[in-house]
Amino acid sequence: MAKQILRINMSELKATYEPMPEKWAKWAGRGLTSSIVVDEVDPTCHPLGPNNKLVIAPGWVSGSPAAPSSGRTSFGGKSPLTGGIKEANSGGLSSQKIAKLGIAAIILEGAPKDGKWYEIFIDKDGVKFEDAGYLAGKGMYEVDKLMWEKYPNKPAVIGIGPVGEMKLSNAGISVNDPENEPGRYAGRGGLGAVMGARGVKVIVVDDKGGPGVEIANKDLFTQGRKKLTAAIGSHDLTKKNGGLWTYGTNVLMNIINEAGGLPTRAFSAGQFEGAAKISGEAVVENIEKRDGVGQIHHACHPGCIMQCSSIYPHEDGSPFVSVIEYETAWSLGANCGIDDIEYIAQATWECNDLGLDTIEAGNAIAMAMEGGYIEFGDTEGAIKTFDEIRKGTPIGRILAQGTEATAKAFGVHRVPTVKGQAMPAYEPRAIKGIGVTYATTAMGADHTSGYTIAPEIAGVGGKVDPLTDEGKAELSLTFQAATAFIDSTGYCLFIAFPILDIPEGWEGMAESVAGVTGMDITGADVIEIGKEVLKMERLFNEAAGFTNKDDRLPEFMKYEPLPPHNVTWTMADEALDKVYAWVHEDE
Amino acid sequence: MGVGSIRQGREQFTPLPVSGERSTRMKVEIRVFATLRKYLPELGVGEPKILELPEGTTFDALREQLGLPAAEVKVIMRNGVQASPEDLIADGDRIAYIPAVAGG
Repeated sequence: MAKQILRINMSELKATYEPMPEKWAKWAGRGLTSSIVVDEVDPTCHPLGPNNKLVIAPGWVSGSPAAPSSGRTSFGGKSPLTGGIKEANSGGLSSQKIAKLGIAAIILEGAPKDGKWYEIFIDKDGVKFEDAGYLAGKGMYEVDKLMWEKYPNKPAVIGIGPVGEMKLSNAGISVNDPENEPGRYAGRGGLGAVMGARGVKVIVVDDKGGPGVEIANKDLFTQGRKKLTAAIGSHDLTKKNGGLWTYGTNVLMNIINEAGGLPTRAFSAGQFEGAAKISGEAVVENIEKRDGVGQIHHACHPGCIMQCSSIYPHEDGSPFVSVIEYETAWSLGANCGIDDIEYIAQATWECNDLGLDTIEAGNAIAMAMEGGYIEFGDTEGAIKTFDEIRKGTPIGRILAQGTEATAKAFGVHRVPTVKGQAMPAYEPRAIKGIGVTYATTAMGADHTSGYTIAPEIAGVGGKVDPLTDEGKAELSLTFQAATAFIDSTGYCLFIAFPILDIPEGWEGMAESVAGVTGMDITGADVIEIGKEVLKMERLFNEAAGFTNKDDRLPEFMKYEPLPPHNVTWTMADEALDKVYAWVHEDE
Repeated sequence: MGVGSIRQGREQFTPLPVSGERSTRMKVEIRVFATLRKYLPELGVGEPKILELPEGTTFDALREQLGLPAAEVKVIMRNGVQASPEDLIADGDRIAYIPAVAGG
């Protein structure tokens, strides 16, 4: 069965299955969400208005048998946070289930005329709409639980918390994990508010009895997935007992701190004296010490062999939260001058429940601290901000509107954002390549768009000096292009680490995509295909009003030296402008 | 583990037996992270090992002395800047041996 586009019109409460049009046929994942947004969303529309859409797409290999770590779902639309195009992707159960129903993408458009909240159920027999009034105002922990009680077959649950219902710009979209917990987020850029604006509280996907994923060339697919699996299984980082498998992403806390690139107290220093206390090593020590449900090397979706997630228990061993990512521990911790891991676990739970992106949430709290509303390091003051958000008070709404809104409300001029989106856990003054990615990607400040940290800090995919500007523009573009491809596969971006070092893994990734889709591509085509995605996203943003002047880091980073290296942002504007100059070179 | 244990680590520091002139020895702080921690199990998370070394010691020689397998050390840092195995250690250096890491 050929893949279909499922169009859900909320104004008419009508679902239609459309054959995949030729113009989108080659795409999946991020390539497909961005193609659909470019074709169907007016770049000048209001992100919360009737002309924006939410597009949901599994990747090329999602749902295919035994493709390792291939459970990413892409979510796309115009971002309320940045005003530009957005693709945010998540692990969890949704990708494989959507793909196994033969659906290439779900397009959510319109808004209910009756102003009600809706629950959408999708299975092999079609789409059902139900009044979701009984779920309104509920956090995602309860929503996920209720959906598994209501529907058999342990379905995927894609939902928004109260922040998405309030249509605030830091609303993420939650996807449940194999334990039916809401810790997987298409977090960045406020797409939860776009879902909220469509009047949809939750989308439940049950793939039982679905047609499954067709494999065009089984031999090629098998050959490719075996090469990729071998690369993941043999690389020091991703293999069993390797750094990522043992400590998760928070293995980075001590390392980035050691490199002087850990943004501390609202990006005022590059080292945090409390880093060790909130590091992956400290989290794992606690998990091992506490009996009960705690778990390291936990898979966020079925079939993940990297298993970088973990389950953090309370002291009595009962379930607390999954997962304390590096970005999360940094944002809510070091960036707020907080070294209390129990606070960070609680704040992460609040974000998961309310439907907040943790990176933006911690940055917003840091702005409230910078502005004097709370003291740096004040865990009691910080935890109260989540109560304010839950109640929808004016201060809560300002915080949940994101970093820039909070900075403005408190008269703060040191604002660590690009295109309205807050920076993640790497100081661009101390790690220059990631600064180029923050500045130039269409997504706003986003490390996952072009993760130059791999060669700049970790010696993965080469080794370069993080403190120099030279070569970083080219490095960032290459990583941005490779990422756009991987984000289209359905594979987790973390496969990049092994396959950057192991050429057979890179080939295997491309062969597995070619095997599933029947497309004639090899590893040599990855960067060019990725650049096609980057180009369409860039042109959307230009049509929305963005220029090169939006590809800049915040002013204070140019004049404020960052300890301990005492460095400023020195990359020339002309160098940044060259990163995307190729987009217009054929004209 | 945390500030308390770091202090404790410093108090427990016992200088190595010194032969020759004291001025020819260097005092350094060493940290190991993630999967390398198992080779220095006495250290708490983030806790430094304080050592005195003779002048002329390289990062590679120190790695050997600490019992860290070369194949497991991906990056060496000196005062937050990457160093090469053959580089000479200087007095007062803050040194870190780092295995394969990434994420984010």
